[in-house]
Amino acid sequence: MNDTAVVIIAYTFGLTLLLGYAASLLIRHAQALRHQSPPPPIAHQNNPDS
Amino acid sequence: MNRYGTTILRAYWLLTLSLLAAALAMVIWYVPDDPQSGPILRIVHIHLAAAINTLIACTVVFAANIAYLWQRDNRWDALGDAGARVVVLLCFVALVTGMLWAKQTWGRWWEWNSPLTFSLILWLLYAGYLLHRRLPHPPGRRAMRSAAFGIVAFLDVPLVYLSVRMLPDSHLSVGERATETVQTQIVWLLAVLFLSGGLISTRYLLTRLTSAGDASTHAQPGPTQRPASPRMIA
Repeated sequence: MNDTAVVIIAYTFGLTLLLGYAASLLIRHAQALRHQSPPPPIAHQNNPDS
Repeated sequence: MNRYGTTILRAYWLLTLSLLAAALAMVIWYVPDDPQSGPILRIVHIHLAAAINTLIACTVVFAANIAYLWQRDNRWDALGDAGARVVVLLCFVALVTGMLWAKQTWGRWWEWNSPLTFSLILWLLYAGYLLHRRLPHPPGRRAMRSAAFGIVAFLDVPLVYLSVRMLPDSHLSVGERATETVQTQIVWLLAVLFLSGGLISTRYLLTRLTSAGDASTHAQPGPTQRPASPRMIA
């Protein structure tokens, strides 16, 4: 196989694996943060005028 | 995590991605082709960066395992787990890119010499470490046994390093390198170091967040949960 093609395959493989894992971690981290944060206060709750 | 923590994490990942983009641009446009090997030598940047950072991540796991045995703090266990995941990932990248390089240079994918064999054993050991953590264990024993496993697995790290350094003929070598090649290699080392640091810290934070969520959901400690040590509370 052409040397340049092998180099492209190597970098595509390595970076896809590493950045794919990074993306999955960051998405799960953001989801966990959202899950942990308290729900926003509900406006007009217990307000007899509303 | 507060707002400042999230901002710091975002800034860190932005810096890491910028470094990786710069490193990739250097491989494409800055590094000249090697007069003897041709363009295949460009593979060395990702291969060497992954290999060196594998050994650094192994050292992080080793330090976390020692600290766990000393303090019995679950945070060290979480750090060991996060580090081992990155070791398996980086070592896999180093092995596959090395095989691609070997196929083009030697004409075969693999050779059973000491550097390659010790590297494969390293990958198997840390993959085994992660599998071992998923086995059913008696209450409170998982972290202890994983720490002991991790310390034994680290014994392979000096073997990998010394076999590459002391038996250069049995490993793919680069020889005389141009200044551009050395500069690009430094940028790649830094970029992958930042990337592995980001992966370890994000995985660690995720484990802490999910375990805190589980603890708040289940107020009563389960049979597999270890009671917090006095040092951890302190």
